[in-house]
Amino acid sequence: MRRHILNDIIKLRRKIYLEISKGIFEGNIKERIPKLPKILIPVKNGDHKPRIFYEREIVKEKIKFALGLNYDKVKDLELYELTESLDEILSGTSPLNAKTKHMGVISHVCNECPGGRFYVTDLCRNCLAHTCMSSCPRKAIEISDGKALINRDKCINCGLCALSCPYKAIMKLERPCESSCVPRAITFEGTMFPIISEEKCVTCGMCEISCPFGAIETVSNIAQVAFKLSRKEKMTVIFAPSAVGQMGGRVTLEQFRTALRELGFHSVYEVAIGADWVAEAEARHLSRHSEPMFTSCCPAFVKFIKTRFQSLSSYISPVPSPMIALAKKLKEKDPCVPIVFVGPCIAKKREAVENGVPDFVLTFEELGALFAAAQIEPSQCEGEDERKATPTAWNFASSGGVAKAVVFYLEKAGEYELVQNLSIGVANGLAECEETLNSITKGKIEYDLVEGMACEGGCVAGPGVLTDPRMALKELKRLFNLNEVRK
Amino acid sequence: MDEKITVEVCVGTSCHLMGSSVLISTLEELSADIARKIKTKLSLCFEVCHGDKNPPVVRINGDFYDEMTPDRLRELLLKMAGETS
Repeated sequence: MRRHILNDIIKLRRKIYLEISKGIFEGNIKERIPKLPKILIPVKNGDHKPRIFYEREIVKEKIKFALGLNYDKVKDLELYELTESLDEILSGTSPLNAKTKHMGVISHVCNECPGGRFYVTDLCRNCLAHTCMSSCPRKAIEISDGKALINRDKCINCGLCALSCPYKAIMKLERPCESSCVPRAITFEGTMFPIISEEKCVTCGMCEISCPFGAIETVSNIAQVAFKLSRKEKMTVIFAPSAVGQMGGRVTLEQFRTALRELGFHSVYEVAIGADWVAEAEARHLSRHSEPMFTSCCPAFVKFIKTRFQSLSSYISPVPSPMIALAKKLKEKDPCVPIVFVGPCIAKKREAVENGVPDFVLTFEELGALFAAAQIEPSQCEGEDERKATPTAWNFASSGGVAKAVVFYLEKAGEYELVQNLSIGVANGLAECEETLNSITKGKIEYDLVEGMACEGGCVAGPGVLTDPRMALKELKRLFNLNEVRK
Repeated sequence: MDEKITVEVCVGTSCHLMGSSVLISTLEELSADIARKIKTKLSLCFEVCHGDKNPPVVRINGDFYDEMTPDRLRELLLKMAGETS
């Protein structure tokens, strides 16, 4: 399970979302935006001044992402310059609005971490064995000032010294963005700041949550959704199965629904309904085809296969994801009503744009900010009961849950023999996905059904969650009486 | 038996957004030695965060503490629990 630590960068982003939503709801967004960096990062006596200006710059640039802008186009603009076209920006009609870009690097905020090199730390005891020196194939280590020292001209970054040191005193300093990126979409092409290859990037969001300087940010839809809500425009909201526990353990799913309605959404649906359709359709597909099937609900996993393991891409389930399936159905019924998806995911933003539906994608973080700005307390809401989906569909939110749901529908269709002989692979997290897909490509392993989720733990551990993934999973299992998932 | 320390964690929307759920996890993870001296309550919005207090807000024995972090909460409680024993 991904360890979720609420750091100051995440808090800062939430504060920005909150302030922008408040400004839109209160109708003073134009005056508020240029002042936000100073409001959010005030100077207190004794503060380290350069730090303040650095943080304000981070806020300033992040506001552009929160407003849903294409960062390449607004990089050099000051905030007050944006206020002129704010109405168009909020209604999504400005040429500055991002259409297909979902992640961006704020290059001048990047701390330019000196990554990928080995360093001798203070743990070096200046021992007599000098194993580091003996292990180095290039004789790049000398002893100077009572400590091992790596000669940069000779070092080839092989890491044998680090492996050999009995005190583990030699370490590789890694750039968090680069090391968190399994698809290796982050490169440094002669620059010190990262460049994201759009072709390779699966928009899993791991670089964003791993950067300690907040230099990588995702484009948000919060301002456009808040704007429509403030004008009382009719909208439908659909929420991911991982919504369980996201507004705190005290808020029931029923109360969550009412809170969404109080926020101004006309209709509310759980995507778990779509998950039931998908699991049933995938079970049918599996029973009619002999070749393996890879689940298609995680858009990051799907893109990862399409770009890194092209030879396997024909095995991706032809069934759309639950979000797309439900959104398409709702659009057929009511083509003019915009649909907002709320989930833990950044990759869903890309999936939505690629499929034309839903119209907007928000994270739970962004929804939490909207609730707070509108001063809605979900735990105080009355609650409406409309649970239509099966418990097995809600389990799509956790690793192993999708495979289990497919098995559930196979058994329901009486395919007991197929289930008995079914070999299932559950890949939990993008690193495991890579490992599994590698083994399949090399013919080392054969599966009939592969469930892949880019986030370690499943959607409950997505980059846009509000609740600790462990707590969310506990709540999900408790609420729907889900047993341990077979692996 | 000494009187228990009353810890009220606000679970209102603003405080939840700024991390009150992490504070609850922190309280749950306290060692049994400290935990038995503490009475935890989850509270609705104290209505102080719209003024000069910043979320997440925690009330300990009637006093408000704002911008609470897991580390600070743990430290505070360890200190107070030490004093009451």
